[in-house]
Amino acid sequence: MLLESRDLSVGYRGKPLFEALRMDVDFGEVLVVTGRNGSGKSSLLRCLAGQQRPLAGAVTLEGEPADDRQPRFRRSVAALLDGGAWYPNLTAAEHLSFVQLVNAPMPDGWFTAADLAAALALDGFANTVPGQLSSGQRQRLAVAMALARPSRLLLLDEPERHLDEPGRDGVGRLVTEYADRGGAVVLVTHDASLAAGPGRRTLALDRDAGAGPAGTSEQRTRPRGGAR
Amino acid sequence: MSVVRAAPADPAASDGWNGRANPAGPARRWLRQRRREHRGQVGNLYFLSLSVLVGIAVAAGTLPRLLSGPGRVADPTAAPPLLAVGLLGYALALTCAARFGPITATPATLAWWLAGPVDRRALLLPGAAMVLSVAAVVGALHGAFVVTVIGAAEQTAAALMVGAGIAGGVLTGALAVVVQTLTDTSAAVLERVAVLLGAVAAVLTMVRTSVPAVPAWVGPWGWPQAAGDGQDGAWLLWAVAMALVLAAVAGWRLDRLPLRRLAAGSTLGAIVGVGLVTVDPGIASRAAEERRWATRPLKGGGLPRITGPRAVVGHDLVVARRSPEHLLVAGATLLLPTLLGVLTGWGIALAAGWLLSGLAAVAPSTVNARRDRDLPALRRLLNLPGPALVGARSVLPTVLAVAWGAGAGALLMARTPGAESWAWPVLGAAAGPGLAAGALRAARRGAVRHELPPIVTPMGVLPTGPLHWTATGYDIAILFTTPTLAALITGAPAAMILPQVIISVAGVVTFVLLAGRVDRSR
Repeated sequence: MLLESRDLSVGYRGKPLFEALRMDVDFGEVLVVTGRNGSGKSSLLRCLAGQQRPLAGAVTLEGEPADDRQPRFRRSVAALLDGGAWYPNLTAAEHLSFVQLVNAPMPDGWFTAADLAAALALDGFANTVPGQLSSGQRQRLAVAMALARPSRLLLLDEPERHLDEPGRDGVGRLVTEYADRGGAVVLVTHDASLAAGPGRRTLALDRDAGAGPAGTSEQRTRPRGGAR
Repeated sequence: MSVVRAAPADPAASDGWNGRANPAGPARRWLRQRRREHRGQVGNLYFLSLSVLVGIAVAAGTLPRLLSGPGRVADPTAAPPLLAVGLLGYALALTCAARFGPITATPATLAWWLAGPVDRRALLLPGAAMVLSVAAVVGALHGAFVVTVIGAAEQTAAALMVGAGIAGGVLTGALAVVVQTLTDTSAAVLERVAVLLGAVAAVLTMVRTSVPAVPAWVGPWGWPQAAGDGQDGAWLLWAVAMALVLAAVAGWRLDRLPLRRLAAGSTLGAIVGVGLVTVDPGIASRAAEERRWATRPLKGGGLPRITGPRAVVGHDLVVARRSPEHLLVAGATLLLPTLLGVLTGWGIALAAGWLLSGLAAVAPSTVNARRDRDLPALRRLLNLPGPALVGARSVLPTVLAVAWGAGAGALLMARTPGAESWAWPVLGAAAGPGLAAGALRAARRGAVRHELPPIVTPMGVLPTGPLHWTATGYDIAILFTTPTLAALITGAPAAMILPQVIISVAGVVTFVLLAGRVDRSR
């Protein structure tokens, strides 16, 4: 099992947004996380990325605790949280190159910049700096950057933000292809078409339901009131 | 789309999923090269070189005079207030360190670089070096201040005092970094230490006692004084060694810093960066205020059930109740005029310190006035006549300023006894409305006016918009508190009370009417 959470409780200042979450995500799976605003979807992703300490419980990646201080963990997990951030003096193409340089070496057969540019229609603004891009173009670039770096677990927080229909379709296809190549995806989304891709399981954070079809693991959440 | 430069292959890491971190060097060099290609370096180099030259010239002109100043007769009663100044300075520095981390990174570096499998220690080392450099400069300034107050018999003694200040600054900066690497609650730890230092400073401000020599064990805030007391200097070597060891430990532990401990400072850094890039501190302060409220629990009850303009006052009161830390800041600013009065005597330094402290104490109570001014939609929702709204928003700042003025005057009276010392609290209270008007004008100054004509200087074009923005608020604060400032320069407060009362009342009424009329026309 690639990603596991056991009795996970996530919240702020001691107040849980949800408690006792148990979930497993294996290689090649896409887990779609849904829920009302403030139910803790983004906080869950930050916990899975090792960037937020849970109130209780544990997250493990291949049996090791999620800890972003470990290079092995950082080499395995790619995350797009909070809509991305930019170097104002690099073009879109240079951002992609920079991410691949930081995450070298690239495994054989990984997404190339050309693959991503074609899937997300980046060609039109490859030599433009982020400050001159529309919010939708910046979101396409952010998704491309998250996929440009080699990883085994991809965490995406509402990647459909600001995207038109072709953009959402492109993201959907890339997520499917990532999983087909053996990677695991945890996808937070409010977009029905993204959530309804082939073979996807669903974890609803705002009801007592588990994560999709019965698997080998038990999924259970106890949501709490209060929004953030 | 084309990839600008292919990623270099690393044979040692060819399995792709190993646990080793990539070196930071290649990506750093690549990034530096791309940035160089995108922006002209000539202008930056010119400005940097000129700034360094001017800095060297200023230092060359003042340092010898500072370091060779004749040693004065040591005043044992000045030691506690001087130590209090050091404590307040360190409290302020630790508060800033708590806000920024002290180690932080830009949001882009956090998202795309530090999150990658790159050597985290190597990536964060420049940030740590920056923190330690700033700490060293702060320590040096502290040492230089002590030299200017107590003097030094010879240049070596003065250099030792400045050196002790630098060692103290580096030690404290390194300690702050180490704390950040140890716990998620480092900001709370640093803030509590700052509050403790402020409390000790308050006690020392009011103590009238003779201290012949400040021992080194009191802490880095007392090291320049300890070095100036001419004791055995062996401890200074130990202090320097301790600072260096802690700096090394801080650097060694950088790879133990998780991203979550860098994120808060990163957001604040980005906000400050926006303020610097747009040369508009107003944008940065509004964003910082929103972030502050978004990351804290609300305490202090709800809105009082009152109507009309009084509800606006109730809103200000609720915000004040929910920001107890602002009362701490106001309390700390009360000490500065007294400390300056004891250490430097009557003069411009004391008057300037009083004005700056007063405005700093009152400014937090004007945040709602700033929002009313910046967001006309909010003002329209309130649907109050301009003068009524501005008048209501000026109630709390005026009350606070009167209380602050009286408090600062009472402290000054207690520590600088004289025939007219009874008049300081009365004069301070009388100046309160004038201070409040200045703080309100500063809060309502809006965006920087970039359309104002620039001034051409040998160092380059100097935009006057930011200067105008900075001066707005201080202008009428100086105007409306002129009698008090004059009294602080001459040391004769009694005759200034009546003129101050008249100017304060006339000033605040005029300000409310004029500002309200401006709001009505917008």
